[in-house]
Amino acid sequence: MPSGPANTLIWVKDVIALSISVWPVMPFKPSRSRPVIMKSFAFRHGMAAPGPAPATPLIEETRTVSSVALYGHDYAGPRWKLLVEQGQEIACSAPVFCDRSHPALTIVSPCQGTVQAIELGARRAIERVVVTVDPAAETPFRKSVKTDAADKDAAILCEFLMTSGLWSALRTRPFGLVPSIDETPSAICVNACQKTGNNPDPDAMDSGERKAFARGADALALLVEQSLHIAQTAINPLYEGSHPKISAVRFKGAYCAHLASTHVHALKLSSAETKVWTIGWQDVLALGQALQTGTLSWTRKTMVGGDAANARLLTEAPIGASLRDLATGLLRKPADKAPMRVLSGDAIGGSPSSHLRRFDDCVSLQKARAGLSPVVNTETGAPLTPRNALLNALPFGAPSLPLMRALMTHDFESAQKLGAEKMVEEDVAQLTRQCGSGADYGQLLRAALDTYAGARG
Amino acid sequence: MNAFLQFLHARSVGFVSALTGLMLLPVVGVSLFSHGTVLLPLLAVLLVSAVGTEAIFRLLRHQPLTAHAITTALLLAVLLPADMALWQAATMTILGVILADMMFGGRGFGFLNAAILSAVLVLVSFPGTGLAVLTDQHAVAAVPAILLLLFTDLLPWRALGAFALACLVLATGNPDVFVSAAGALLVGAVFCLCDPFASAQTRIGQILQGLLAASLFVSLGGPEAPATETMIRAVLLTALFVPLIDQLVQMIGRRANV
Repeated sequence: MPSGPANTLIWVKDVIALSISVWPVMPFKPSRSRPVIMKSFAFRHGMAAPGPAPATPLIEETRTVSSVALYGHDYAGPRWKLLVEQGQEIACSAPVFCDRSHPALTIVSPCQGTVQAIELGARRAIERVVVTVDPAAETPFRKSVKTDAADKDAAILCEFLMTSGLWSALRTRPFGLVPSIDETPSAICVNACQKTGNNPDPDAMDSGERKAFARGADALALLVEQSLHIAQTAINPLYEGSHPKISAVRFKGAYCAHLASTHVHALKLSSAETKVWTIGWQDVLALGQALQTGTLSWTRKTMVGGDAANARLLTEAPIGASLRDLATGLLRKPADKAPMRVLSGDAIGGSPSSHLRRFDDCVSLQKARAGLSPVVNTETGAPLTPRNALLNALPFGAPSLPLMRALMTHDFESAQKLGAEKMVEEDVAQLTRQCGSGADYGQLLRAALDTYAGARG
Repeated sequence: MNAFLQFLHARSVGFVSALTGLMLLPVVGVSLFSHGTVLLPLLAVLLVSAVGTEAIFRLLRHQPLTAHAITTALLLAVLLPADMALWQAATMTILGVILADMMFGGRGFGFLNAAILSAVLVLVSFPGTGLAVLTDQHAVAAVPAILLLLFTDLLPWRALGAFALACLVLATGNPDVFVSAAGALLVGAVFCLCDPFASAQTRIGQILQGLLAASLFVSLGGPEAPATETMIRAVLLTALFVPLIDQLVQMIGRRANV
């Protein structure tokens, strides 16, 4: 092969020619005509949000999901009454359980199929309902709904959310419960943050989806007294409407910056009298799409990845999809035969599970590192080891170590003073992960929250 | 191998004890080198009494046996004088381990370091008995401990930094207190003041803890007072105030947050 100055010149010429030919079709985004001023919060304390596993290709494909599950623990608050029996055929969006005191408040099945298993826990509380997806159904996760004027009137919208089952996407702050029928929130916080590199990115919505998202947000703004906030990590606002009550806020930094409790706290929305609701961006999108098209879909964008996966998979999976169906073929063969585990949720807040939990939009395949999996037994009496990382773990300036000690000893009064009331399980997940004592702070916090909610009446 | 990895990852109290014990070995080595074999009977008595006390409590409570007290015994071997009566060392060690650790349910649950409590009990119970003189070699031997504990994220570095800064500032005013105190200051700061289980649990609390320890060291010490004793007294007084400091910091934080 000839070399020298002549060859170099030819090479340079080629590059210039290629650049010129590509120039007109280069993805060139003009800057927005009006500058976007967004309130912004940065959180540097706490665990860093894990990025996507390096050097794993991103693939998009559809997966066949054979079963879905509803977990009772995901719907804290009301006492649920079971409406189905084992072996019963069930339609998509048909109620599976309802509130004992308000039968209109129902949790619905995200698919058409057969009730395969019903598991009850302590005091006959519903642990898990598994529904096998009907293989003959054409669109098992969709249902056409009547949406007449639902985004014009608050009462009709409430009725629509109740009957469609989308009400279960809402959570109250404080306490993280399913909101009761008769309450009106002063504000709603939409969490449109990409928690970790392995979660689906809200900023990847196309223009049609952005329109649907805006329509859903506009509709939800009917319910609030004061304001609806869209918390996002993306630089440009995801909301492209112009409702006066809606504002976009940017959150960046550590893992905790992407949690709903942090948003509510930073925006100073919650106080003793006011109620704040939170909702995820995918549910707002689903609401908007239902209002636009009249078809309610129970599938959500779901990402499968993690440090034990050989690829990242972006797929549309129904709520509660079986993790086995989603993760098949993605687990990297371990060289050292280290045990693996499949988590519903991200690497920090995820929990070992058989199906996706209600608010999880990613599946993490992790190497099971010894000692890091929480043991749900505080009776063994391992003490808490104070490490410096734990001092900075919580976002509100709440002191983590005293809070952990208070929760461990069931001293819920002290925990309340330390800010436990503002948190939910996902906020203390990183404490469980970092602590060597084996205590599950999520469970302990839920017990504390139940106490506070009970005292509040 | 797997069990060892699990032990490292668990970041448990056992890991802290083992690491601190390991890091104490060079310091004990310096003491052995300077005193000779006189120290060996004392070391044996300390080990037997400390580990024995812990084992008896564990057995009576039907709990699995642990050996956190080895670290306590090693630290005491550095702090106590080599020519001390063995029965005195044994009784005070037993008392210290019971009062600081076993009364609260074991190492990690209490708020004091057993070795410091035992050393102060020796000072209080047997007037005339002093503590060992810690030399500059001890200070050098404690440096790896600082590095490794920092690396494993276990050292409350805010407390250590505040203590060091306060000492530097105070040394300009009272230079005679700090004469040949490097060994006592460094060993006392790393192994006694910065015991993760006896340190403050809030960020500001740790800084206050370091400042308090330094000012107590200066106010308790004098040109005549032996540095090790002054340091141990200052550390114990600080440790007693640490829960109060934490409460105060949390109270002020709550007021500021509301």
